[in-house]
Amino acid sequence: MAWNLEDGRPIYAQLVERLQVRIVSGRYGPGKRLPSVRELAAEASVNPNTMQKAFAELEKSGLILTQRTNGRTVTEDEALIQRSRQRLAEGYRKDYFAGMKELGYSEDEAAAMLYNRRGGMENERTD
Amino acid sequence: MLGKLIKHEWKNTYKFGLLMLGAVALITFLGWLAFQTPMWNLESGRMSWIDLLGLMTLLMYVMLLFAAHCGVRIYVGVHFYRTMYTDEGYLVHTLPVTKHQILFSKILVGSLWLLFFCIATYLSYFILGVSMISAIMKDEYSLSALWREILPNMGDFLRGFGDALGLDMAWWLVKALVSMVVSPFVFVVTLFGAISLGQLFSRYRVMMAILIYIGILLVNGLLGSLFRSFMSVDSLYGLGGYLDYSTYVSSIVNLLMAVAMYFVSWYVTGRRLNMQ
Amino acid sequence: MSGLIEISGLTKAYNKSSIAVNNINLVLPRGRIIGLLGPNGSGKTTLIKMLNGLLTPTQGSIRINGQPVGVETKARVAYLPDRTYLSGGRKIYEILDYFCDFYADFSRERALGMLQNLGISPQARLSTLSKGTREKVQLILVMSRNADLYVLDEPIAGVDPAARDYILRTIINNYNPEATVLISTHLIGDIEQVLDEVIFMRYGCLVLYTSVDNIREQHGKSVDAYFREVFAC
Repeated sequence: MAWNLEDGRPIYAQLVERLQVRIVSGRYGPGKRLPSVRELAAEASVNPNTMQKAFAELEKSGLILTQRTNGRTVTEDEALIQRSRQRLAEGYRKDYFAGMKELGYSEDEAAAMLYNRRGGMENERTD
Repeated sequence: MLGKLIKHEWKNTYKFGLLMLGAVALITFLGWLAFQTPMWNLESGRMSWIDLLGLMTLLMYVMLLFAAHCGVRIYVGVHFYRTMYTDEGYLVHTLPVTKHQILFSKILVGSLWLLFFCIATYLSYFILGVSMISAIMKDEYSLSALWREILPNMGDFLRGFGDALGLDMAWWLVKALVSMVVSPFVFVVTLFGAISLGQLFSRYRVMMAILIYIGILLVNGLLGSLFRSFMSVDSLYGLGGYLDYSTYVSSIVNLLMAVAMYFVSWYVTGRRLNMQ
Repeated sequence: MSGLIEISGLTKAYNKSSIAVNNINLVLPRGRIIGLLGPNGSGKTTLIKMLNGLLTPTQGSIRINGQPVGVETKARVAYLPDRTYLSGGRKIYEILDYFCDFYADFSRERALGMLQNLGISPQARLSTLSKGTREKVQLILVMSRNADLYVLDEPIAGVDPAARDYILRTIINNYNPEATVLISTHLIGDIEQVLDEVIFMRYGCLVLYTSVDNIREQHGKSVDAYFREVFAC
């Protein structure tokens, strides 16, 4: 249960996300070799076929490349990695606002609260 | 694969087999001990406590040997049942071997142990007989002297015995020897067949196996006497002839039943296996 | 190429009133890890026993590698039963010898490696080990074979979480695209991520055969949650 996946969504989709995070965060740097499907499946404690499916998805998006001689590597296309990073960030942002909406905050309030964290501390000082 | 099956079957049973042979040796020693008491010195005339002990020991000899005999037979059956039809059967029946191979290895090893045990028993009788003779023999007579006297006349003795019964003694001995070797196999195969037949029932499989075995013995006896009754008296000559013919008939009946029971075991393990 | 296992019209009736497996038709491919799921008494073990030739079907047929259940299929199927099939008096290395003798695909090195990982001495006599350890020994024996089909009947029931993780890791590490692993269990949540596909059984009938991600995609819930919904009383 090493990767602690969510219940309600397809496993491969979650694996795709996890791998994307590792790539955009530089853990798997541009042009670097990726661990094998089997290694990652064992690490994540998931079915190798599902990991394979996640790899196939990432290959389709161009983030990883399969080379006959060198196994799988991360793309060297930094712009592509950046776009992927922005997409993930966008997802987190949406999740944040969706969560805040559920708590009853409007979008403006929620946006303000992101900055308020520092502001609140300032307030404490001025008080 | 058959060789490997036999090897592992042997490995699984040799401890019990050796234990039982050791038991026969011990029982024989007890019997021999019985003849070392002064009771057998006929001149003493009076029974003392040590004589009583000797008699008791002899009685024990007979009983223990009988018990050991039952023990071996029961062990062979229980071992077969346990390895074939209990949890351990899950291993045996999923081996990549044929049912013939499994059955053959179990029959061979089980029968061999029974045969060894029987030979050991005969040896025990012999040793006990010799020690009995030497115990009651007059002091001036030695065992080797007696032996020297008997041996050259053995042939005449047997011939005379055979003539009295109307038998060819040499031929009879050969048949006795064959029957000694074959009968453990007949017993084991029949027993295994009964145990396998018990598996056809959905419940009380062991009890059914025991009942079936008893049933087989009854049927064998019945068939034997049936065949004997077909034989008109005029074709028989003498008591020996009758005895000879009679053992012949029951041997053949038993043998045929064993063959049938082998195929029963094969059918049950191959086509009707239902492990619980 | 056709499936690794082809089951057609398979029925097992213990007597007229109790039908344990009822007319199952199923084709299972190679290279999958498949969960055989169902409540107690749904016929999982009966199906598994028929795959291994321990029960004779009342009707229907099973083919593994295109062959009916027999000597050839047994050589290629590694089976972990839901019970202890090893007699207690034997030592572990003797059992390894036994498996080496009978299964051409058994790897003694792999078995010794796994025993070492779990800290089990090959010199140990089986009767001196705990029930959990004995179960691990049996799993090691099964997973040390290089079979086409692994059939594991309730491998994780009754083992501690650490052992369960070891078992699942062993299954993943042993993965071979030519082989299929069939795992029966009622503890779905524990092994869900390891499975490709699931088979649901109820009252001896096949209810569903689909992939884990299909269920998650279509129903927006885990197989475990979906199972509870389908089999809710």
